[in-house]
Amino acid sequence: MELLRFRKRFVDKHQLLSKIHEILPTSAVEIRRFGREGPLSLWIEVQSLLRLSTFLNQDSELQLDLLEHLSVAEFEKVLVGSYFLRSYQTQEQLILRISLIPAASEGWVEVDSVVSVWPMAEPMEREMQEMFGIRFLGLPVGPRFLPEYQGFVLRKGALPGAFT
Amino acid sequence: MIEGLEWIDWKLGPYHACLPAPMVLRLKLNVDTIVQCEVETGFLYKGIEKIMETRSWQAAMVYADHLDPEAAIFGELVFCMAVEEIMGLCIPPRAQFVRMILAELSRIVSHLAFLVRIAKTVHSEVILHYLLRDREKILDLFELLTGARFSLNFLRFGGVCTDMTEGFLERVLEICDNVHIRMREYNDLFIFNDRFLNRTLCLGVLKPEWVLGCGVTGPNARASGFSWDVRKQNALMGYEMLDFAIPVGTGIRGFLGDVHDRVVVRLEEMAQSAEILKQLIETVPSGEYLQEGYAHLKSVPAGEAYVRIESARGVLGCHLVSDGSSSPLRVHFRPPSVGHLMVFPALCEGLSSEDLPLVLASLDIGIAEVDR
Repeated sequence: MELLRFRKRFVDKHQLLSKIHEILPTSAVEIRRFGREGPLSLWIEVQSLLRLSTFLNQDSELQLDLLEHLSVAEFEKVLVGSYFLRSYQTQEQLILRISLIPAASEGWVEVDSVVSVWPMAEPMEREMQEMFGIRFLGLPVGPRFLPEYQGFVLRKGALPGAFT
Repeated sequence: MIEGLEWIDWKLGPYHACLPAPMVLRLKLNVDTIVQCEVETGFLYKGIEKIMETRSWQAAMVYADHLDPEAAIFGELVFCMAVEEIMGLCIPPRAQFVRMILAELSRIVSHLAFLVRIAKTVHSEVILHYLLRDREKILDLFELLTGARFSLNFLRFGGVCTDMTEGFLERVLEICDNVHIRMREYNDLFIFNDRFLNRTLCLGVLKPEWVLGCGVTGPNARASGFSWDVRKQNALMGYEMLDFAIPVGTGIRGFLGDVHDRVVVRLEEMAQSAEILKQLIETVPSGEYLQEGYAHLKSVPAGEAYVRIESARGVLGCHLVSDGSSSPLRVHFRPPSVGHLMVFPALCEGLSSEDLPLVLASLDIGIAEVDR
């Protein structure tokens, strides 16, 4: 295998936007740098997550074939999901971001699972499903981490020690 | 399933002699051959990330230590780097060197612990004691520098807690020489040992497509032929000025990515870590060990960062979000062991039940990272 040397490669903004515009004209909400000098982060509509993920994974130039990390953070009762994508071959990076608003403090929210695109998403989605109450549609059923816990542990309103 | 055959259901765990950590394995067996395996975790869940959200920035560091008790420095390091990334903080060169020395020593410690588990599963009591003896020497060094043997709590935002203790570097150099001497013994006991080869060659082959599909990283991926190492990709870690090789599996004696390759890659990585340490000791710069004004950090500016490093088990990431307050808004680690655990059921299919502990040990799954 080819040795991947030092390089920090980020997806070209204009190229990416034009490609997305061709396929899903209304999917991209906002595009900006992640952190101080990080890769591009692409805020998208929740409904277009699966289609866009499939495109990013299968595009011959981008080849974003690794979902390195799936993280969820709660900002003022809005759940923000961040999909940290990377290409094995080119080491290019991109972050897909979605926002989900639960109807109630203990309510579920739904989003498509990306397991069909990136199989490594399964344990990450399962964890986020249980910890944040995000139901990933299409995620295979598996055992719970904390079957005795009531509520969603990592939401801001969760009380420590609320075990049955 | 084939009709007419009877399957045996076998539940192992959460606590069992053949398991390296608390987990449940639900196996379906055809006489002695594993047909299906399901893994259940969560028995060690500590809520580290949730607790970190309720602590001050510096106190949160203590919990980052508990991410992987065997190599605690990596949890500290990735958390520190994420905070420094948000703040745009550059650390003094001397502090960078101390961090790298601790990281490489921890890598050797973690790999020695891996070899101990492998030796235990193949019932090689002699090797086990040799390995533990050598690991103790490095833990003594940690104690000399930090006062602790496992949870070091030594890094600070902007550098390290204190300067190096007198005589520390000389003893690190002794460890490096010792590793090179011991490597010959380990080669005799592992690589040139027929009994060990019979158990490990062509067993538990981790196919490249599984590496890609499950996001396997670190020595396990390298043993399957992928020469990925974040130390060669992330300039923040400071390894760009060092000359070292990335050992990869060759499958020359068995199959590429078998248990034997995973052991050999870790042995070679220990030798490479000793080389890195020698280079570091030769060029340790003088100067400050902590950026001035950051000894008692009260708050971090609003922002977020995602940082990844090469821990002993693979790529360890940290997504950190700050809202400008006195504690983190969100800390989320990306532990390498999640991918290793995901690939384990696939490796089990067709395996004899007696080889199960060996294959499990060879993946070096840190369950504390998974159930964090």
